This record gives sequence, C-alpha cells and structure tokens, in this order.
Amino acid sequence: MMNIETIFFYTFSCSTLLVYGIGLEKAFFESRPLSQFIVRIPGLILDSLLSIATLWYLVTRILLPNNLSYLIPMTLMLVCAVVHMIVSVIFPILKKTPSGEMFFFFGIIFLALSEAVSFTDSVLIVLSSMLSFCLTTVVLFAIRSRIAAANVHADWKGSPLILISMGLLCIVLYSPDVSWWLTEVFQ
Amino acid sequence: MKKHTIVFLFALCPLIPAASRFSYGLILCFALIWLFLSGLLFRELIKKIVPDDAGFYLELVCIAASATVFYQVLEAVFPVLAVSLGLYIFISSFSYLVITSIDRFSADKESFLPIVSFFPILLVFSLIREIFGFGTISFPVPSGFIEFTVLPYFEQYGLGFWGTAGGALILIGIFSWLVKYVNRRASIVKRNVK
Repeated sequence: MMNIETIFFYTFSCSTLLVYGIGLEKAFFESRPLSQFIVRIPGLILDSLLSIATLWYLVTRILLPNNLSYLIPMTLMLVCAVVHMIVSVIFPILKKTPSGEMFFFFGIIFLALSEAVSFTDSVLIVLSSMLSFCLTTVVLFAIRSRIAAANVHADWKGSPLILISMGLLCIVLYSPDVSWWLTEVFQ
Repeated sequence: MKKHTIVFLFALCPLIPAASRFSYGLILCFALIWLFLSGLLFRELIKKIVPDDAGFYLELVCIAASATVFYQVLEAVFPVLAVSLGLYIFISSFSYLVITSIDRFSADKESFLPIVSFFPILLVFSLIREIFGFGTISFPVPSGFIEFTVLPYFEQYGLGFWGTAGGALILIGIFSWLVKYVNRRASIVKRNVK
C-alpha cells in the first residue's frame, strides 16, 4: 500500500513535474507537434533505473557513512554520464539526447536520492517521475491541438494558454487531497 | 525582443517551484550568477584539456562541484534557507538556462545571454508572487527570512493561491500574455509612426 501511495504522491498529488518543477521546460517543448519523446522513453527509463541502482548503494553505503555527502552531486553526474554512455550502445537513439532531456534525467535521479528512504522508494520515485512527465506531456499535447483548432485571440495563442492550462492541471491533480468528497465521505 | 521575453521558458524549474518568496529569488539569483561564472571558467579550462565529447560531462561534474561550494557557503550563512533551497540549487546547476548561456558566451561573447534577461524576471516574479501570495516582502537572514508587511489586510482578504505552483503557472501565463500584448501594440504604434 505504501508503494502505491508513493507512486500516486509523485505522479499526481505532488507531481514531480508540476510541483517540484523537474522537467517542466521539457514537457512544455515536447508537447509541440512532431515531438518524438515517446520513442526515447524506454531508453531513458533504463538509464534512470541503472543510475539509481548504482548510486543508491554508493551513496548510502560509502559516501554518507564516511561523511562525504558533499561528493554526492559530482558522483551523481559521473555515474549518470557513464551509465548514459553504456545505455546509448543498447539504444542508439539516445546517442543524440537533447540537453533538456539530460537535465530532466539528472533532476529525477537527484530527487530520488534526496527524498527516498529505501532503494525501492527511490526506484518508485524515478518511475513515478517518468509517469508524471509522460501523462502531463500527452495532456499538454491534446491541449495544444485544441488551441490550434480553436478561434483564440492571437495574443493568447501559444505559451500564455499552455502555461495557464499547466496551472489548472496542477490544481486539478492535487484537488483530491483537499476534496471534501474524498477526505470526509469515503473515510 | 521576442527572445528576451520567452527566456523564462528555459528556466521554469527554479522559477515555478522555488521563487515563491523574494528572499528565495535573491538567493537563486546569486546561485545562478555563481554557476554561470564558474561554468564559464570550467568551460575554458576543459576546452583546453579535453576537447572531445567527454568534455561536456566533465564540465557538468565541475558545475556540480561549484554548486556544492555555493551550497556549503549558503549553509554557513543562511542555514534555514539552505534547507528550503538546497534541491533547487543543485537542480539549477544543470538547468537549460545556465548551460545555454555558457554555450552562447563561449561561442560568441557578443551574443544574447538568456541568463542576463532572466535575473530581472526572477526578481520581479518572486516579488509579485510574495506580495500577492503572502502580502509581504522578505529578505534573507541567518534565522530564515525577515518579513515586511506590504498588504496589511492580507490575512482577511488575501489569496495565498498565488504562492502555490498552480498559481505561479497561471501568473506566468498572464505575464506571457501581457508581454505579447504590449509587443503587438508597440509594433502597431511603430508602424503607424513610419
């Protein structure tokens, strides 16, 4: 049950993308037509899982017990870079990774390392972040399509309406946490 | 003009989740300046030592090291704010804004630097968010931040919604519309004058 709660927390109620802001820029740009982010997602998931698996034990067994926490950011970068180079051999599409994607990848690994209390937790945070990113990007893509077909004033088209929609999406996702219906009626 | 106004889209990450108070905006500004300057230094050094693809990753490791130095200083001077902003200082070190600005400055020193236009946006945005979201203006102090009340009746009539991530996205959407509107009006006026 705790695992499901972690997934729901980082995907919806405290979305890694909309509340923590990790990958917001990427979701904004990837939601444009002709984006091919879905093709790179399996490689990115493998990249993230291998990185977190390597880093978790390195950080919790070596760096933290020896009071070397200040080395965590540099270790993270090094490990992620090496893992990315190895995974690029399996998924050649990742060889030309846009820099925005790399920063999203570093961001979720950093979040997982700083917030997780166990290895399972860190894996769940990484997977929830990916899920949050995919869901939001697909929803934003749909919103963009509707805006493109709608008769909207030129000043509102593009970034203003997308940003406002992202704001509304953010409110909608954490509304179940404050909803009287869910917190009072069902408990 | 357009590229100056859309610069915030490259740095939605520290702007939306972390710039809810003016004191946070100030600290993030200093962090970005530090990361940009140290990033430039590392870029020039690494270009001379490692000229191939591995240089990019080595450069990121060095920027992460400079973010750690900034964090250690912040922890010593403003320990409470270091706890609140720690995650975003490290995340900003590999933000698109910092890396793009370093790339541009390194390629052509005369070109437009997104980070320079971003500083006033970050400060003004965090100021507006704090005034509308909390009714105060805050400045960093070692025990956290000191608040000055700007809207005295905020407790009764204020809307804390603007302090949240959802509120910030809506606010920046309105700001984006305003910029587009002003640009369009200005171009119409310019055309009529000609």
